[in-house]
Order: sequence, then structure tokens, then C-alpha cells
Amino acid sequence: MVMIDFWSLGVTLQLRISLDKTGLTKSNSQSNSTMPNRQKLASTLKQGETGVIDGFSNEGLSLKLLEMGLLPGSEITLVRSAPMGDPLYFHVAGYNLSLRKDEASTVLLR
Amino acid sequence: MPSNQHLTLALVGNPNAGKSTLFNLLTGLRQKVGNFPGVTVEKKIGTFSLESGKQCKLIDLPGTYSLYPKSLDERVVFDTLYNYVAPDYPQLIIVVADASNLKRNLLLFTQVADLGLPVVLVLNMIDVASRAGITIDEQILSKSLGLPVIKLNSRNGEGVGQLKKLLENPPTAVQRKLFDTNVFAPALVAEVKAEFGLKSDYLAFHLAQQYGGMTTITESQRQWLNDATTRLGFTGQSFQAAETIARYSVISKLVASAVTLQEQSQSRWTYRLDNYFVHKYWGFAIFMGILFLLFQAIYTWASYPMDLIDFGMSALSDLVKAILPDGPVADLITNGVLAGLGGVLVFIPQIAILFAFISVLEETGYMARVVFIMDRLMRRFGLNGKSVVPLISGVACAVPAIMSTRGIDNQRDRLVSIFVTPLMSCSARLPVFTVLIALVVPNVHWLGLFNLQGLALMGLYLVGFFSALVSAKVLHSILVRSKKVEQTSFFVLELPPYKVPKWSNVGYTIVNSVKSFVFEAGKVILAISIVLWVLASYGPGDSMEVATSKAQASYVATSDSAMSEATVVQAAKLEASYAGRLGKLIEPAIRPLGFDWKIGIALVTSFAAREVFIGTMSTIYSLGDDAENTQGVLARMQAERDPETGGPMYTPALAFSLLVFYLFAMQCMSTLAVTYRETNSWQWPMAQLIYMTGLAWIASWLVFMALS
Repeated sequence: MVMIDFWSLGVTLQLRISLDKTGLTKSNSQSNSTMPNRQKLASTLKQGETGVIDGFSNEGLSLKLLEMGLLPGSEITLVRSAPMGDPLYFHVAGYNLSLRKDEASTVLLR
Repeated sequence: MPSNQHLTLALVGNPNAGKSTLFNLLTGLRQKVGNFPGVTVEKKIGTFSLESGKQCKLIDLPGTYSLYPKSLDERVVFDTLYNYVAPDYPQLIIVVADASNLKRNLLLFTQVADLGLPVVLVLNMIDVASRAGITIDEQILSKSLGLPVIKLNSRNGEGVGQLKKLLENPPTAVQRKLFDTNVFAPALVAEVKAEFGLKSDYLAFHLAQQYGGMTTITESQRQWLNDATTRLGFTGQSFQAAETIARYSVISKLVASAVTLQEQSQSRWTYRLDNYFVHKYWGFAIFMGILFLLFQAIYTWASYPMDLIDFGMSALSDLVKAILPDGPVADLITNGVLAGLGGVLVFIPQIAILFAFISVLEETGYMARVVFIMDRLMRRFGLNGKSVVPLISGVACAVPAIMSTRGIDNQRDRLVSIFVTPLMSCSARLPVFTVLIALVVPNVHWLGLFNLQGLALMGLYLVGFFSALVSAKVLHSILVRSKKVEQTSFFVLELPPYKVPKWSNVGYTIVNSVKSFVFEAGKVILAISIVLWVLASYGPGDSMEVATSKAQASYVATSDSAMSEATVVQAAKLEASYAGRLGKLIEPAIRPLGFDWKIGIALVTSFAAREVFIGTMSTIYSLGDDAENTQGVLARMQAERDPETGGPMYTPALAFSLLVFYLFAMQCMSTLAVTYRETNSWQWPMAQLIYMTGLAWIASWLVFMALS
């Protein structure tokens, strides 16, 4: 929770500028409570469906996902899900990546 | 700086970029496996020479996606690259990038390049890239980066010659900065650079963010960094997202000029295979099938070379007995040294087969699918998909398996995995299982296909596996309730495309694992065998002589014809020896399980390492042998009689009770030591010892009660 507060405060000017440019900042409350139906998430993709990444709702995880090449503006396709429905099998940034459902739900789509 | 004749290199790259293949290709069998200082992350160092005779030392660093570590394994990479005072600090970094997935691989590369060390970029898997329609102009890339770029196919060695040629005159220049930290924290970076005497802005920038967990800085340095970052209001992590995005935009420009992408003719093989391998039903069926094959292989295929080794050791033992005169020296060599050595060597085929399987599963990319399909199930037990790797490796040996938990980023899942991994039946239990199963399970084929002994073995492994799962569940809920261990969990797993395994890599894995078993575990086993021989051959004061004369006297008195005089005397002597006394001491505690003091001796010595059981048994029972009669341990145990009933000592009840005891008990000093190192507390290894041994006692007691 501390991290997320941090995130929405936008600690430095540079950070805010660079993030605004990429459209990365999405406050947690916005994506989860006020507009849950309008906001498409990577976890709600149907098998074979492709979406475009818009941003993330979890700061710590977003650092890892960015490093893995999940950049805002890039495409993400749900290839299939695991035998028990979770985790999910995505094609993104030219390779295959597996995310748990709750991790995929932090990836916001356009 | 070492002389020009000796070049130290480090290999850095993403997981699955073919780093280990290149390492094997360059160094061949001239590699050593050790640990990074202070941590137990595996460190592989190899050497090779160039055409000019120049010697190169190559350090293989753990695979990582970024210099910002997400797990303990990854932490080693930055720690090593920072620690410039270390004796084998690299003079040149070779960054291995997967050419078929260039953008993501270049992220780590741009980070490493900005640290200010000379860097060479190797574009690996160039064959995969060209099949996917990716053409890379390495000249353009090299020019815009200002450093050498080499295309390489580590599967067939194409490009290795070019790399070696480059190493004759390695680049020393520092390339241009790919990312400028001045945008983020100019004041802090300047201060850190001055305080630590660093040349690279980016190195200083990393230090200011990572000092908390670093092992290669002093406490006062940590304190200084803490003060400086607080004073300047530096908020480490929040810069990372912006940095990554900035780097990717640099990479996009680089790639746009150097890479041409033809219409995607990408192979659909991986998806086609995944239709089966991660299928709802097929996925699990295939996984179970592979495990089944593995255990059948360990049991049946390994038995031929094992028999051969057994036979060879017996022949050698007979030879020694024939050459040397009877006496303590011949006895020590045959019953102490050779018996112990045989116990080590006979193990090699099983270890080789096991590591061959694990290596093939990893090489092909299937292991990642196992993690993928098992995650949901494992989570139910408080573990995660990545725990499958330590648990499966635990079938080989708990020590490397516990070390492999470093790949699990979630601290709580990691602790649970460490705790339960020793419940998986490791290969050290295998000889014990093998002998005891052979004693009581008939060697017949069920439905003319499945070996009944093989099935019994698989059953034991399954019981071990399920007890690990249940224990994990219990421990998980305790940890959740106590809220002692904080939770930050990423699963995030790359599913690499399927590949035909490179067999030489499998070969190196086998050689390395057998080598470390024979030299590391072998030392302990051999030493214990000799100590044991001494303990079993000598007793306090004149007790041995007293026992001998007493036995002789009583033998004459009863003249029991079932046993020869020599056997009776030997048994009496063993009972009077130090070992016998030790066994007797613990006998009251193990009597309810059906064990006598002889088995007690084996239990005591097994606390050093389980595999010592067989050596102990052969030492104990061989002491009664005639000089020219060297039977295998199985025959010796079969011949053992119950002193009270006169029937076979190893009844099914006893054998199964003993099997179950070995299945659960914590009898491995090395595992306790590695648990201590990994958790950095005595609490965990002690808990393991008490829990597992208690479980073993109760389970054995139940089995013995039920069967007798």
C-alpha cells in the first residue's frame, strides 16, 4: 500500500513527466472500484484475443513487467490458460509469457 | 590488473538466451562449480585458451532480465559486477542476447554497458532468428553502440572462432552512455561517485538504489548511502519504471536501424506442441508419464551398470584379500575403505540418469510448462509452480534443490519450499530403498509389463511427494497466521520455444553432478566408512577379548549348530564394540519400530548421510564373514537371523517400517547445513530435524504395528 501511495503522489517532477508521456499512471482506485466494467484487463481477454497495453495498476509488478517488455502501446494476446484456468499463457513482445490471473489483472488495456 | 596473458571474462544474459551452451562450448570440460562468496548461488568458472596461447577465465553469472534483482539469484549479477576489488573481477563482459527476441534481451545489455566496463555483445540463436524472418545487421548495430557485436550460433559453434579472435585483443574502451542518469538524480550520483571513487554514473545510480541488500559493501558504506539518499530525498524504486521506458525507446531506435523483419513465418511448432503439453488432461497425463519413465529408468536401466560396479568392487576386495596377509590392515582396506568406496561408486548410474532427465526437461523448454500447469495445484498447498523445480530436483538431492529455491521471489513460498524439499525422496535414499524393496517385494512383472519392485519404488516417491505437499500446507497456514514473513509475489514466467536438447549440454550436466557427488559426498561417505570400521572393530578396554572368550564358552555349552562358532564370536564382538554400544544406547528409542541395535548403528551413521546405511550394513554384517566369502549386502541381510525367533531378521514388517523411517527422517547433515545457509537461522534446520524425524518415528511405528 505504501508503494501505491507513493506512486499516485508522483514523487519527482521528472518521474511525473515521463510517466504522463507514456500514459503509465493509473491510480489503483480508478481501475478497481469506480470503473471496473469499462476498464479492460489482460486477465479478461478471451482465448486468441489481442489487446493493447495501456498501463498498470500495481507499481512493484509493473517494474518487472516493463522489464519483460510489456510496454504501454504494445500488443498482448491470450494464447490459452493453464489446465485449471490459472495461470494464463500470453504472447507479448515477440515471445510467450505466463502470468497468474491476478497478475494479468494489473495490466490495463486500451 | 593481472598480466595481459590472463583475461577474466564474465557471461551475462537473460535466462534461455543460451548462456550455458556458450559457456560449455568455450570451456568444455575445463569447468569448476562452486559458490559465489557469502551466498550459495552456483558459480561456474571455466578456462580456455586462445590460439595465441593466452588463457581466459570465464565466469558464468546467473541469468537475469535486468540488473535490478527480483530474486536472490539475480542479486549476484549486480553484486559481482560492482565488486571491482574481487580477485577475479572481470576485465570484459560478454553479454549474450537471444537474437530472436532482441528488444527484451537488449534491455539488460544497455544496463550492463552503462556500468562502464568493456562489453562485447553476442547475438546468440541467430539460426532461430533467421527462421523467424529476423535479419540483423551487426555492423550497423556495432557502429551505433560503439562496441563489438558478434553473431553466434551456440548450437553448432558458428561464430565462436570470431569471438575468440576478438578476445586476442579485447576492447578496453568504454562505450557511449545509452541512458543518462542526470535526468533523475544528478546531485546524488555525483556524491556517490566521489565517495566511492566510481567512474560510471550508472554504477553510482544503482548503488544508491540497491545498497540495502548488497553483500559486497561494508556496513559503514551502507549507512553512508542511507544517509545520503535520505538527505537528498532520493526514492530509488520510483525511477525504475521511467528508466526502463527510456531504455526501451533507445533500443527501439537501435533495432529499427539494424533489424529487418520479414513477414512472420514464425514456426507454430511450439503452439502445436503446447496443445498437448499444457492440455487440460493430456498435460498432466504426459507429466505423469514422464515421471513414471524416470523412475522405471532409475530402477531398471541403472541396475546393469550398478551390478557391474558391485561385481568389480567384490572382485577387487577378493584380490586384496588374496594378496595381503590376514590382519587389521587387510580388514581395514576391504571392509572399511573398499566397502565405503563401493557404496559411493555404485550410486553413479542413478545420479547420471536422474540428472540426464532433469537436464533434458530443462533443455527442451518442457520444465517451464511443468511450472505452468502445476502452479494452480501447488498454490493450493501453499507453494507455487516454481516450487516444482526444487521438489523435482529434490528427487536427485535436497542440497542443490534447496539452493534452487533462490529462483522463487516470494519469500514465504521459498521458506515453505525449503522446509518440505527434504521430504522428497532424494537419490541418497535410493540405495536404501533398493536394498529393502529387494528384500521383501518379489521381483515379478505385473501384467507382464510393470516391474512390481519399480511400482513399490514409485509408491514410496509418491508418499514422499504427498507428505511434502501436506507439510507445505500446514506450514503455509502457520506462516500466514503468524504474519512473520511478508508477502511480495511475482510468478511471471517465460515459456521458451521448444528446442531439441543439445546433447553435449546434457553430458556436461551429468559429468558435473557425478563429479560433485563423488568428490563432495564421497569424501564424507568414505571417511564415515573408515570411522565406522574402527568403531565396529574396537571396543573400550578389554571388552572385546572378554566378549570373545565368553562367546566361545557359551558356544561350546549350547553347541548350537545353526550358526558357526566364528559367526557367534563375531556377533558378540560387534555387540561389545563402540559401535555396538552406541546402537544399544539408542535401541530403547527404536525398539517400538522393530529395529535392533545393529540397525541402530546404521541410523546413527546415517545422520551424516543416508547413503551410508548400505556401507554400514555391509561393514556390520561382513565382519562375520569368512575371508574368501564376499557377498553383496543384500545377501548378507537376507542371511541375517532374528536372534530371538531364529527366522529371517528382515520380515516385511521390519523392512517396511525401515523404509518408511528412511522416507521421512531428516538424516542428512549437508541438508541441514544448506538450510541454515539459505534461511540464515538455526530455527529452520532445527525445525526440519525435529519435524521430519518425529514424523518418521510415528509413521514407522504405525507401519510396524499394522504389519506385525
